[in-house]
Amino acid sequence: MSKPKRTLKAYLLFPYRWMVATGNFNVLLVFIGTFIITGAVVFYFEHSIGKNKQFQSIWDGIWWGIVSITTTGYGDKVPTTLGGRLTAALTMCTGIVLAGIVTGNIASWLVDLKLKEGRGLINLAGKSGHLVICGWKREMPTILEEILRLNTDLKPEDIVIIAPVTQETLERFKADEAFEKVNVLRGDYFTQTMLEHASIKLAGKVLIVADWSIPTQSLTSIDAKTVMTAMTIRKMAPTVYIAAEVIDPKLDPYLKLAHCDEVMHTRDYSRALLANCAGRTGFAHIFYDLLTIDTPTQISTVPVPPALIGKPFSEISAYYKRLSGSITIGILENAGNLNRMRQEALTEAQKNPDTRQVLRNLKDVKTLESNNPILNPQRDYIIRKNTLAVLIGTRDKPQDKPLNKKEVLS
Amino acid sequence: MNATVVPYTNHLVICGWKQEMHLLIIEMLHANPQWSPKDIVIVSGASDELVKTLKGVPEVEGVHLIRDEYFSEAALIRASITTASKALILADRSDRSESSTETDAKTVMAAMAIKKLAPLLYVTTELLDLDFLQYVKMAKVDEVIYSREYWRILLANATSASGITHVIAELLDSNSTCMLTSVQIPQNFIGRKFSDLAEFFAHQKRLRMICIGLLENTENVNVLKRKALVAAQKTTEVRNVLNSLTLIREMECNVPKLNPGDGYIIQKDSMAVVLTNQDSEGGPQTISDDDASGKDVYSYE
Repeated sequence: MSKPKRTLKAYLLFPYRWMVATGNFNVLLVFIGTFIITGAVVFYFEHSIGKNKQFQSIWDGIWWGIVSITTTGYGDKVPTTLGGRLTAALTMCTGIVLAGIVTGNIASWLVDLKLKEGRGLINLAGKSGHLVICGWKREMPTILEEILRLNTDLKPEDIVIIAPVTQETLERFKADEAFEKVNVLRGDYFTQTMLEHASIKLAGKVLIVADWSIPTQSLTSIDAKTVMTAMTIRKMAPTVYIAAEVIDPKLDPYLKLAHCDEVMHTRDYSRALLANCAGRTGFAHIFYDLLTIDTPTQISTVPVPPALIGKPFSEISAYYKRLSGSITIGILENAGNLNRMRQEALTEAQKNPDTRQVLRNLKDVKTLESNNPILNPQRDYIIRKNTLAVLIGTRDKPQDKPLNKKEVLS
Repeated sequence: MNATVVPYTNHLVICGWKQEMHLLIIEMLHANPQWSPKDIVIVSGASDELVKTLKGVPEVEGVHLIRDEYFSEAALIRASITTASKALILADRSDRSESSTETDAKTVMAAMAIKKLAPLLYVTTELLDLDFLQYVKMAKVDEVIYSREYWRILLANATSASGITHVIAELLDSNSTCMLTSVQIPQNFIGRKFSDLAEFFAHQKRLRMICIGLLENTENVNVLKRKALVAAQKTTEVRNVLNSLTLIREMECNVPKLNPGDGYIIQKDSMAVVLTNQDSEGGPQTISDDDASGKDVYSYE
């Protein structure tokens, strides 16, 4: 996940954000106008009439105006004429009123922002490289803990959750210091407006979870919302990486239509795990060891170097053994964005002069499946483009370049 | 289904109930083709409404059901727990009013009751809350499943866009040709390097296999204790015997050592963790000592 940028620009843009959000352009105009008018008047009285050496140009007048209106008062330039002093008195009174208006306005905007954040009504348009989680689970804090542990470059403020949670749930969640900065938008995560507020077009990744925030809804309804969300997101952001959790695998075809990159059937997995554990020794422990980051072993996927594309599986297996001592257990084909891969495959298919072959290729393109695992393939299995190697290695040894957002998207 | 009590042997005892229990049993039978429905005995106090879901499913016809609390000794005796080959204690959420703590407490009670009645039986338990881990360890349970923890980790993994969830799904899928399993290690590999064992599996001709690691301490703790006590009676070195007993007491069962490194020495009571492709022959469960000589002959457990 790429790191969202928090630069000096963000701080410099603060007055602009305030003005856009509150529409207070007139306050700014009054401020600027007052600087110029008072600066010019004082300059006239002091330079032309009083021959005051402190006011050599109009800029000295404007500088004096800024210092006085903002109630700073350096005292480096002092009017000495009657006209200059009367203008100064008027400027000071106006300054107090104007400064009060602006300070109050900014304070009220910030309080409003905080309140909206607390109620989950914020608009994050413009945010980029963040993780959007659609839906809610009772175990959301522990899920987030795990996400933050796994993605070390991800910060709580880089996570945006859209869910129809109650105010009470939200307050309880935000009360935990660890998740204070996580952005929560309260509302239906499948609506375009909410997704726009979450800046979905610029998001790094999206995770749609089977939402249990409304206890009365049926399982089909939960899954239907997941499918609708995936379809809406894909329409709004064709290249964003989408992982979705569904309860009923019957809805898989719809998620495929939405070009979902990763689909999970967690309930089925739990059942399958129990079924496997019933007959095999140590299966649960082996699985836990593979998945958790608390053990030194890890299962990971890394991009196959371009030089090994077109080579047999045995070669990449030997390569990773040499590189990091990792065991290659298989490959993951069609990794990355499916839309882009389809486009590439389509172009390639059309290049062939044989019409029958072109038709066959086009059919293959249509059936392309994202993240297709082939575990323990034949030794002579040829590695194709867009393939990741599935490795079992140790955390302290580098596997290879980790998969970053650019690689996922391009 | 059969509600009468018959002396079962070499069967699987499932304690507790799960939503869509029939699907779980079908999946179990699929994942473990050596079993038939008659080899499964369920002990559960689930309501009639829930139990009804098992009726009329042809694939689970023949599964034995004992309607009683699964942590009661009497019910376990009726399930012939002493002659069972394995016990699986599920985190039973059939009673919606029950908290996860209550469910885990029942699991611990059931584990203690089973280990009291059948100390050598291989017991697998499913826990909801990791806080109860110390109690199941005290009950000398052989394997613990943290199902909630697993899917939480899976969801978190999905955010790293690594495609790991699809790999895991493939490993769990009983319809997949690829199977992750633990197999016996030929005796002559004990004390040798892990690389030798990996090489041995890689060169099997009839089945494609990748050895990904070891599973240590697969022997039942109670059996090990007995062995140590027998050894104690034969030796005059009391300190050594005490040391070995302390080690056994602190020992954890079924500890995976995945990718331990080429030079890692294979310990006694270890099994090999292999990824096997069963597209032609069916998955191997055990390897006879003769196989170590280079012949690739497998037999079912």
